[in-house]
Amino acid sequence: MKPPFTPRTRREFLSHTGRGLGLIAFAGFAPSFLVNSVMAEAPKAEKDRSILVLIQLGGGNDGLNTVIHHENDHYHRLRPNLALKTSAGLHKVDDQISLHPSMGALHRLLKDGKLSVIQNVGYPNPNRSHFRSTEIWETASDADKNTYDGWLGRYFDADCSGSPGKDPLAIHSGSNMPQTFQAAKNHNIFGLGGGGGRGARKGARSPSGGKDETELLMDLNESLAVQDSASASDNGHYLRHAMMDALLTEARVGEVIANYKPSVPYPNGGLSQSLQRIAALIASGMETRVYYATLGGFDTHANQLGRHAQLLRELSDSMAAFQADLTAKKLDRQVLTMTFSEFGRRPSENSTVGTDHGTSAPLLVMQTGIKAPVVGTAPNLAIKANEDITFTTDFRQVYGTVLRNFLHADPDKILGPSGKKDLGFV
Amino acid sequence: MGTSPSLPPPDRAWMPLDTRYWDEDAARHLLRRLGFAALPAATALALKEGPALTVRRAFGALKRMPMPEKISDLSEESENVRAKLRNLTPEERREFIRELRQKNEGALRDFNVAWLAFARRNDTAAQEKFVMFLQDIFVVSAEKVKDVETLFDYQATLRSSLDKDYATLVRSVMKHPAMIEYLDSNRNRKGQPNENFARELFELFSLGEGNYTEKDVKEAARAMTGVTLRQKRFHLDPSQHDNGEKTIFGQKGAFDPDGLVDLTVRQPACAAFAPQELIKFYLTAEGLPRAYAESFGRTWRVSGMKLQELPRILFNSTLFYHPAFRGNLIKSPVAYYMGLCQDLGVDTFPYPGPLVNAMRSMGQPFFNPPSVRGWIYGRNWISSTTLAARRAVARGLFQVINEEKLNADEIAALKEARAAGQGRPTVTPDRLEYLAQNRTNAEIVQHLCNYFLPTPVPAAFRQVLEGHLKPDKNRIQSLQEIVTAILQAPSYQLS
Repeated sequence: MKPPFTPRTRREFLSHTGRGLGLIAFAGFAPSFLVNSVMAEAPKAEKDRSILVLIQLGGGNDGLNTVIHHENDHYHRLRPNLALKTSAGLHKVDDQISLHPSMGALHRLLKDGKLSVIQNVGYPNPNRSHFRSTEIWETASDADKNTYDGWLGRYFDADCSGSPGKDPLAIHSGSNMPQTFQAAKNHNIFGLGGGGGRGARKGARSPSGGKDETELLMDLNESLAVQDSASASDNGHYLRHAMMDALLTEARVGEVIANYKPSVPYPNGGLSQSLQRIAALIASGMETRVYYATLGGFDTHANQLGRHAQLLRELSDSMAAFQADLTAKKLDRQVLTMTFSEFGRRPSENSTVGTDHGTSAPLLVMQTGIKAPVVGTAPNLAIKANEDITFTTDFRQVYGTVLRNFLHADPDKILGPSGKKDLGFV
Repeated sequence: MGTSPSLPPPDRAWMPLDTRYWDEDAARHLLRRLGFAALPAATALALKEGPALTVRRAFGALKRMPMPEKISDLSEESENVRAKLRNLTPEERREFIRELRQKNEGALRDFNVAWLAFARRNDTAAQEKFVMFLQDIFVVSAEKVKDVETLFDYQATLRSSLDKDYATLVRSVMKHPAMIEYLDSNRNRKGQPNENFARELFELFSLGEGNYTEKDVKEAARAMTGVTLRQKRFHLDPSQHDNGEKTIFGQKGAFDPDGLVDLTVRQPACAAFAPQELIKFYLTAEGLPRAYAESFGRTWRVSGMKLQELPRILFNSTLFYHPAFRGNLIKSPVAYYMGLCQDLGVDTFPYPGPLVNAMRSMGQPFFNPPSVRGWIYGRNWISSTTLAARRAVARGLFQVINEEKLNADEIAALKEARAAGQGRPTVTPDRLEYLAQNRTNAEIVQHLCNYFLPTPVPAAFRQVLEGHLKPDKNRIQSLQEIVTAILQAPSYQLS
């Protein structure tokens, strides 16, 4: 068998990138049939490409005070100090549920058919460790199984290896890559954040009159390729790949963000800033399929009311600004934004006017044309103090629905049987 | 990394290295992992003395870190805050608290500067790397624990545990105000237990996931009820402590916090826990099959679970010197900067500006881990953003400090550092001139690659560098550019 074509030099790399063969080839992991098929048929620029934006609510969002069962006596019984009453300015969704007073902007989107609440999402044998439960959500594994690759990483492996373009496949807002993107193959994953201002300026010279820093580093990077081994544990190989991707991408991304003119004002705050950058990249026509932003601070063990209200306001206002910006640019139908959190919180409040780690919680999904404002069934709150609620919708069904109906992928091989049921919200 | 012979089996992995395999490469591997660099003199000494003595020498007697002035000033000021506040108007009170917060933030930056300077010393590097290791298990964050004196004291507690055993360490962590505040241990009352500390004790400090049940957590939280702080010290309030019988790990007893820690450390899984973390921190971030940690743990348990035995067993072992682990560990941001300083023979910056930002953008801000799990080492350090930040740090070490742009505090700090003989945080051209003398381009490049990089590089790598060297008036500048490139290249990110 002919060995797969894997460009080692930047020239090979760039010339094939121009024809639609992307950075993935540098990894040396691309099977030859993919490379060959790509070279035969470069992917078309897809104006209607579907783009997924994930927002992680770090720390475990209190679902019961996000989507409020205002008519449920058990809710008020379990939370004498924390329960929110209708008079506190709840935004009614229907007779049974309301959104938190801070979530006026998202409530308007819900009424306009652009937001869906998926109720009581969780998984069997819930784990209450932040890390383990985050891992479960990011890998979509069963609670008793350890999986290394993320659910979107498996999607990249299965569906995106054949169409690598010049743009990153996935972009995350922090400096650490979320496990959701962890994949068996190498993909071009890019992190936003503070840096990346310095880029390869064409033809720039160093102070000594030689190649500039970026050029010199690219040359060194290429020269190391002969040492690449097939071993997955070769960190040198990993670093070379990461650096080449970064050098080529950072200049372009920096330029797009710096020149962006949002159509609406965005509020202050980190999440808002991340979403504005994401809007810039989407609007620029980047071929990136998935974006990931984070809002942390939801681990509200004590004095939760004010802090939680502030967080939900930041979430609601940022998401609404993002959606308005996309709408003004006619991108709102091809972008789907979804929140998730590692767990909800205990229905009973604790002694410090906060809540401890719990189990299931609602998710929010935002897209123009979303099919239903409320999906799934409410949690059963007829429980004893300090008991937890039992999920009624498996989170993998949410992922499965997005993969099947929005990303047009086959969820079976990515999620297994737990993701089979179609929730039909998109 | 080429094809390597297979790893020794777990039961033989931790046996001492056969002295036949002790050579210069092994010595450099040891020094880089033990501390942050393998300088020629230290390598020569290690080669002569062997691994056991090198490890013992690197740790030596416990060296305490002096308290930075700003922290001691602050600690006087923040005494009796409540009494001071009582006599103030609400307006003045807000102002006082705002000022105190800002002073704490300033003190934390000074602590950062002072710690990096302390850890950079050749005689403390191994010790402070080990403190980093402990700090990444017993995580606390300045986001929650605002009082900098408490954080300083907490780090000192971890440091001084080096000559103690694991149970003593866990007990002192459990009782330390920094941990009590960080994990809400003082918000845990009889009848209304808060499980935060109990869960992390099992999951992150001593046993690891899968070695306890949810019921153990609930019962352990009862044992921890009544913990409070009295004048910044641990106190068990008998009126809030649940002294009833608990069943933890199948054992019944009226466990209190001390009893809980003792019981936990006696669990078989505990002896493998710290070794597992040690393997990930010092040997391979990808981890090894659990049998290796268990085998390590059996040896460690026999020697009384003393902290200092952890590096002793690891760095003398056959497994540590296996080819699979040479030059394949991605440096943490702290290790990267410390390595740069030691390799280049420069001091750490005496003022916070460039340091605090550099550590943040590389992904390891001081006392500010992403979560209670601490930093995840290995490939998680690497992204386009953090690589750009590492490149900026390396570049910055060759830039002349423009003193006109420094503020008064920075100038004072620089003067003080110079007076103490530690005022050279960047590489000056004279150092490069020395390097360029009487050497051909090929010799210079060969020397630089050997000196800085943990593994041999291909000829093409050296040719790129040789091709960049310019003659005459541009020689020193071009030399600076290739050194910068070596320090930015993928190979230098590895240890």
